[in-house]
Amino acid sequence: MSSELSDLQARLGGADVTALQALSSADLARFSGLIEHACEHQTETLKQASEQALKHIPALLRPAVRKLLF
Amino acid sequence: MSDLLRQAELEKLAVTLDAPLAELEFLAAYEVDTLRELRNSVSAALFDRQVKRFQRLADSTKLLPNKLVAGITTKVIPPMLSAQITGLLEPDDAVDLAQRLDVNYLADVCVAMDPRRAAPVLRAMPATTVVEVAMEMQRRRAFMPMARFVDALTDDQISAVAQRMSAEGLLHVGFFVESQARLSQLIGLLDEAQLSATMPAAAADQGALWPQALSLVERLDQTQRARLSNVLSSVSPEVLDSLSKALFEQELWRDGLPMLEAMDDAAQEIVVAALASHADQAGHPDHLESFLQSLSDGLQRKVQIALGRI
Repeated sequence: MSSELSDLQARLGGADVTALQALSSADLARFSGLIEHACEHQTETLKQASEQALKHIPALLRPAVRKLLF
Repeated sequence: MSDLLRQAELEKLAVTLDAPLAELEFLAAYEVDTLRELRNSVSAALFDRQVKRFQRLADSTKLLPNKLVAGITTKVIPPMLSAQITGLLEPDDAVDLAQRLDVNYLADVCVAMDPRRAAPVLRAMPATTVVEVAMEMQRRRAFMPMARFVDALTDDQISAVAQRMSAEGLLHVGFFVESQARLSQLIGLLDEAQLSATMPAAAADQGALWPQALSLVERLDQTQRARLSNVLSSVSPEVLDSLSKALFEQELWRDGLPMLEAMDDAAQEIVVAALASHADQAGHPDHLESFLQSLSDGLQRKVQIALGRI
């Protein structure tokens, strides 16, 4: 298995990627990049939403909710 | 036909990756099943890497009254995020929250949701809420996301939605449903009037939906395939003409064979006569001969009779 395919498999949590063996190294790297971008976008969205949500929580409850969220 | 399904799978993968469809061009040659497995793997990987955080967010909703949670959700939680959390909520809480949220927001959530992860919550939703959201999704022509819910919802919920959907919407959604068994169940829930409306809907807009209709018929079990195919025995000549054009001019006749073979004798005679007459008059001798050769002996004989060759 090529290093690009191994990298892709790792990003997909160990999923079976043998069907993608025919892809070129460049395309495998491109696919890994798309997954990485999706992960980064997801993390950022989650962080922003959590911070924004905290602003709407009554001050007394905020520390408890913050502890839960982060 | 497989090109349409492949395109649909690529679109779903693009949505899952939050990437422009054009960036997935390098996957365009893959089979539908491979693309579907790939999408499921991406979706699972994205969910699994944040599952603890999603669970904490879901748990935090128990600390506050649902009225406040609904207000916060609408203001600051993106639908994409709510879609991930929904399946982690207690079904009763989720139902109460859903009824406090705007239908537009709920439709946004459903477009981004993987319904397999939220089945208990979805099945607990009142049919009225499900129908309201489904109608908004239909209005947006979000047929592909709608189809993903067919596996997760109950028969009662599906039936309630089907009663309100347009025939065009049913064709689009049916085309995208992944499970063939569930697709047959969905068609089985339609009454005769709804079934009768599907073929004219396929013929509308210059026959634009025949590929979807033929693919849908092909994936049904024998009972539902025959039921839907027999609708063609009572449609107008214009609908039959549109079908003939699609089969011969869009070269869909191979895709139409399962439908022709599934019809009862009376329906076959009507449809075969229309197809033969169209092919003969429109001057498609090559298509007609290929079409004839692909038919079973019984059907071939019926076409020959319709053409006056026997």
